Amino acid sequence: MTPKIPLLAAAWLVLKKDWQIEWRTRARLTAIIFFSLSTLLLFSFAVGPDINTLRAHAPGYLWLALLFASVLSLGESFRIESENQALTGLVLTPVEPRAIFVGKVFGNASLLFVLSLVLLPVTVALYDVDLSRAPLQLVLVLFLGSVGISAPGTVYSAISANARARDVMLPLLLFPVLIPLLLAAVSATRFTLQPDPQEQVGGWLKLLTAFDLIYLSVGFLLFPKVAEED
Amino acid sequence: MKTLVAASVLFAGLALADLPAAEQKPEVVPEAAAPKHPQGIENAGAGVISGGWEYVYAAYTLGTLGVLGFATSLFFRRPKAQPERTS
Amino acid sequence: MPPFVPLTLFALVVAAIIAHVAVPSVRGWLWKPIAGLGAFMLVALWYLGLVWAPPEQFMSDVGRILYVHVPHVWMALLAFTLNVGCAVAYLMKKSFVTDALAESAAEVGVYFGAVGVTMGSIWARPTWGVWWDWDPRLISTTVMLLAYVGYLALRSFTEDPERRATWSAVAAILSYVSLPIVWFSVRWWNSLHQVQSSPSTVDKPMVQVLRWGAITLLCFLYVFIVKRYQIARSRQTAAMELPPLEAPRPEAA
Repeated sequence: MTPKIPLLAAAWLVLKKDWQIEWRTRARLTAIIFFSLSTLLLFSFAVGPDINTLRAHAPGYLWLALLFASVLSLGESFRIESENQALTGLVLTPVEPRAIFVGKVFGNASLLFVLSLVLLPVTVALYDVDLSRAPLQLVLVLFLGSVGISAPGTVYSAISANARARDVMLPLLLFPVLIPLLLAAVSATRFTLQPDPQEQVGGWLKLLTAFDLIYLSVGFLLFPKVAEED
Repeated sequence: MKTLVAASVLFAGLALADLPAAEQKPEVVPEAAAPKHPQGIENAGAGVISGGWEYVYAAYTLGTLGVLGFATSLFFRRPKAQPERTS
Repeated sequence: MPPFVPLTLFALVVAAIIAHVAVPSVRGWLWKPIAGLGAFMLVALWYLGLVWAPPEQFMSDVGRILYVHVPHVWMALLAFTLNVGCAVAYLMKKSFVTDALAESAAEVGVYFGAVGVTMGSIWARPTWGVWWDWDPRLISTTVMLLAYVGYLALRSFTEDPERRATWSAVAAILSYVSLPIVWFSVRWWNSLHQVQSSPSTVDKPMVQVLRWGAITLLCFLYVFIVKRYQIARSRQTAAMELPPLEAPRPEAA
């Protein structure tokens, strides 16, 4: 068991470093909060003022806003490292690249999770959803979804941070992979917020967890290869 | 060791997803999978959908033109240095 | 079709591709008879599919589209499988041979997939009355296609050959892993809305024509991949003969 502790400790250090950088300016969080606020507002303009339609589709709008915001946030995640070649420095330290991966995934996931918590009251205001049905389950869905976006997103953002046209590259690579996550997260949120007569929410939660585990492990295996090319 | 851990987590994820392995074979399913006829197979006529030849010709033409087009594009991108011809 | 037939054919094609890569004397001639065979079989496929095969039970003549549509999708899946195999091989042992092969397999796969999905759309119009349907097979193929378009874009947007090879290999594996998850989730999601289409019993002439179409396209798959591979290799050598450029690092925004 001894070899595992340095990895987790190093991952914790990377995570703390990311939180510190974020906390000093809070620029990234503020930016994506306002970005997704305007996205949610735009959805209601695009669909029209019918409150029943809006309420029925609120989970979809919420996750699309999170998905679009995640592209901005993930792109920034490795851009701050490519300034002054900070990632090269990080790779040269006696830290396993896998620790960087784990730290970065949970750093990005925590940011998205906070964003989703901020967006919840907004969905109540704009779409009149009822959050009180199963609040803990809703938080669980939001957390699993945030991790699911971040796990493949971290690998892809490490790749696209140094490619040309990186702002186009990231969504082009990330969105196809995230389609099952979007399906699972939207369905799980829908059956959490609205009546679930057929008890389907358990299956979708299982699919979300499976997605997270699969992409965490695949990213864990592949990330060292990406990091050694940076 | 860590690879093993990650691999076992991967398998746990795959098991959680309980992917039905038998149903994923694409070769079993030619897209002849028309929805069940409401009156049952025996009552259906010789062809539920009649006509539609223009769609058939469109598909075959598309396939042939695609092969020709891709071959042409490969021909125009062929390596200059090599003496042999590309189709 | 017995399950081992496609596997055996695929193994044969992979063996022929390896022979092309490894044995220089094969490179000059092997593709020619195979291309000729493919051209002959394609002409015959027109006759077999349009005249010889009886109309399908439900779809009557529209079912003839399947003889070209289904093999195209198979070929795309085979090419993507070959691509991900090359990606894994590259990550285990760096080699520009597997990288070039991965690139050509991806491009050929995108070609076959795009044609196959378009044909599926043409087939769906008279059969289902719509150009598009949320069928898991259709969605999975389309998602795969999108992922590989992203893969090709990543390749063309990265200059450094080693970075390009590693990154695209990682991207290929991540996309390939998503294929069963997409298939499963779309099937589940869609099952709430409509009855899942079930595979009907397939007539013997249908199977034969389908198999004929698959072998035809396998010939083209082989020829396209090895020819595209030669292009990729010559581009690699051309890039290496140039004086090494100072790779411009992306400026920090």
